[in-house]
Amino acid sequence: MIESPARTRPRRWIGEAVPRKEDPALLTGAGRFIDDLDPFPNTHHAAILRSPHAHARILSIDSTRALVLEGVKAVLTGARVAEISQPFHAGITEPVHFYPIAVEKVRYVGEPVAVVVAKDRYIAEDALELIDVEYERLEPVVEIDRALADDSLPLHENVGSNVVHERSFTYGEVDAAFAAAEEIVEATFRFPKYASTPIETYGVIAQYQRGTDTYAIHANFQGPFVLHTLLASALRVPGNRLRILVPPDIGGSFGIKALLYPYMGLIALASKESGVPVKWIEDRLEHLCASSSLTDRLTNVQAAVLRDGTILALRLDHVDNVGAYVRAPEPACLYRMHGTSTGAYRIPALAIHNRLVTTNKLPTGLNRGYGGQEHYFALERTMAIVAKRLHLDRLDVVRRNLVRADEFPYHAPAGSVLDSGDYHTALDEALRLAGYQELLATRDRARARGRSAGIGLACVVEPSGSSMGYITIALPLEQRKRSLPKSGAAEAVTIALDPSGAITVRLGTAPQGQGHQTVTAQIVAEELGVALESIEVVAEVDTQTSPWTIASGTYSSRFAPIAAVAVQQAARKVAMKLRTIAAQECNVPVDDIDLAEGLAIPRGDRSKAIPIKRLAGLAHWNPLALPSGMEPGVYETAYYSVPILEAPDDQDRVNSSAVYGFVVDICLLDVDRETGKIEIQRYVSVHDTGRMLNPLLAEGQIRGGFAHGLGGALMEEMVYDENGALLSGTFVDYLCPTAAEIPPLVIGHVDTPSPFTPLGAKGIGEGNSMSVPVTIANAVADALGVDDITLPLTPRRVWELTQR
Amino acid sequence: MIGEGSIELDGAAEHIYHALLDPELLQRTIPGCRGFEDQGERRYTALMEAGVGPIKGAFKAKFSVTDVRPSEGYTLQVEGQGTPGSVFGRVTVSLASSAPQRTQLHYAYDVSVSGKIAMVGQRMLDAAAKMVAAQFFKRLHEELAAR
Repeated sequence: MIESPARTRPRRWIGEAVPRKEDPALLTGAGRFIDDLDPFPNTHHAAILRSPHAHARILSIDSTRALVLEGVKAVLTGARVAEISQPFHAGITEPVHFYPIAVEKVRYVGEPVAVVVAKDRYIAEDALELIDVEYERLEPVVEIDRALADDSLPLHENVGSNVVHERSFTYGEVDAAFAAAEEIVEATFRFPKYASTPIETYGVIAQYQRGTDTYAIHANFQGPFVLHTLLASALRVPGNRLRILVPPDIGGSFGIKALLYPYMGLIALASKESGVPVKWIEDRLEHLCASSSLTDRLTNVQAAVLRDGTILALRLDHVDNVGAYVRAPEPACLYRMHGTSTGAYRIPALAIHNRLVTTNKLPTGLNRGYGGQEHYFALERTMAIVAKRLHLDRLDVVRRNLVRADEFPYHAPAGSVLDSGDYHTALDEALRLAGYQELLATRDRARARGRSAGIGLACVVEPSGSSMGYITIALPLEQRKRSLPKSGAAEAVTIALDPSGAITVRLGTAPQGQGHQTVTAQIVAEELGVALESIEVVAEVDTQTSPWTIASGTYSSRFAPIAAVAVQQAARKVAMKLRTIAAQECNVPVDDIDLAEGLAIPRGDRSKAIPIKRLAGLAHWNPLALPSGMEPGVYETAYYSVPILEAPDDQDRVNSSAVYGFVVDICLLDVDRETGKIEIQRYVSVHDTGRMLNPLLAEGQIRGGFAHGLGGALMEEMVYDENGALLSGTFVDYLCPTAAEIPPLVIGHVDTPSPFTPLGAKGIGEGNSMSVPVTIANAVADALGVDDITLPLTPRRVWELTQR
Repeated sequence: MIGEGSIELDGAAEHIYHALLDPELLQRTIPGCRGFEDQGERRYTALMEAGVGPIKGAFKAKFSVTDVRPSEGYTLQVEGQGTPGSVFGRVTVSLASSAPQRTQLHYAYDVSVSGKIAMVGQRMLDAAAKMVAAQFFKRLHEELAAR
């Protein structure tokens, strides 16, 4: 037997706890955020006049006094915007016209009414006070119930109703299941409206170039870049005359900066009108009233169950409140979980009735967990109520219904293909980490002492890498058929080696703090066998020069399942080129060349190794010496899309996401009946993140999602009064958790790599945003023996529950 | 925001009723009021400087007197709009003779605010409204006493 010559393996980086590459610059104040940029000479500044009314007709706008103020360049109002642009498209059939500024009517407090462009922000702000607007107040429509009433005043007169979308779906034998049920458990749930509160607010610097009729817009925009197409069409230019540039650093987003695009349009039009570049940095008051939030939702659940806890079927009735307009990508909030409506359970039959309503509140959009927190609040509260009604152990009911490890990939009735998982083992791991028996004993001891203690549990499937087709499920089949089918979820990455062999990777992901540069460097270092620190990762996106796709951006946790694979594939293209050159130089087959330690090493003969930088130099300086047919230079782009993401089928089934993680949360808490204060005693969260790319970053993502979920559970709500006035317009009234309010979190893992992607990694940052609100609600329900739980569980609300 | 209060004033109810419809007197007694103009048919406009906490600015206010009950009272409809936001609602004033040449004035307001003033200042609003009402009636008392 002939021994094969020893191979030189590159150092493993994927899966290593590499500290963030991004941090030194950020921690020394050397980050480059939107407000640090000064890309255009003679940039002027915008201030936005906003509606004080929730619902009113604009009778007149008189800008005369503002325009004569020294330093004021222009005032842009809705009438003019409607002349020079198109409304933004959204994925529903009803004609809800949405412009980036109020046209004829204002429909929420904070809606832009006029934009002043002036020499500086001070003058612009002063000029706002000189604009005279006459309004005629109209009946405000604030709550979902009012929007559903036939006699509520339609926000959009041309639609004629505040119900702007309605669809029903049936999967499996729902009626038969309900006929066979031994019990039918029904409950209604309300989920509140809350937001993300990144430290950095929205920012836009836009320049309209008259000579070429082109727009260049710098903005801390997170994608999805399908909105580039939408924005270009609203601005009435072809895509190649709209250049979006995302700065190197973005100070957090959590979904909210996707909805920056209306302001990108507005400031771009302000530049066109004023003839100068225009900069606008949103202030905190603007952000809290007029950026974006998730939907508030009314859900009615009927569960057909057997007495042993088996769930035969669900009927879900959703009313999602999108606020004043349907802004793309809405109605995605309602449909992101659609294929995964049965969550982690093997429930064979499902009926869904979806309605979307408009009200005089801030329009909605992406928010960490997007649709998941609303969905699981209803589903996981229902699971707890089912156990309670049937006098069964909650764990027995969960175990009985969880998808079993041998059933993966599991085809959920509404279309999601749950790729991998071991839910029962993850549950057991969570019980182990929680010390469940001891937890029960602690709870019972506390109760014996007269305290109200409760245990909460939630099991959630965490989708990541949303498909580009799932939103089209909102359209009826015949309408879907009229346009091209939409499938997949692609990302693009370019890797270049310059003549000195220096490596630059260019991403289209527009990260906002997730650490993409770090993981990208890990993957490229491993694939090319080079030093980690030698790799430069450029995260700033320029739609004119970066590789990107409609799915590009950082949302729906798509870096790990999709972009990371594109990085790997681009690196493999580069590796193949380098190995091919080396194979010719060494006169060996390409398969015998290994890349490691910065060298191309022929198998079994280290002495002939060639430095990678020399190979790169050859590709640039001596193209005639390259293998025949090979292009000069080293510049490789890879596009990757997940094959499993098919377009919705004729039965309205859709696999909405590339891969599906899993989260089990267990919580023990105490309720102080005197003050209504909740004290979390123990919180355990076990995750399935597939193949973990970097444990440090994964932990950071989990802790961030946990904090956001805790805010939704206990503190955060956008409160409007009966007239639609926003009452939670500052951080005094809109509370967010700070380090002091966040209890210790015990994290565990039962990871099952996805079989559907080459890396097998799954998103991880949104799971706890979905699971924490309902876990805490279940614990409070257990502590107080009540079912009717409304979030956020503020001390006042909890105290009221104790008084029942 | 709702509130009410009462104050005993010198003078007969009829006298006080007329004073409360006197634009000049109103301009002098309403806190922060300037440019009070009688638009006829018991409609008035004014510029009002007002603020709650950090939110201050000028409101363009419209008043109209409705539900007129001579010597007994009326309802004042208020609508104001300005940089700090908008204010709308009504104040009902009722007069009753409490003694010869003494009148008990009872007022009740139901006022809503919206915009920045509600976003930032709502928690201070009740206290601010009470203060404005108290200032107004104190000045009214002084004006009537000086007549």
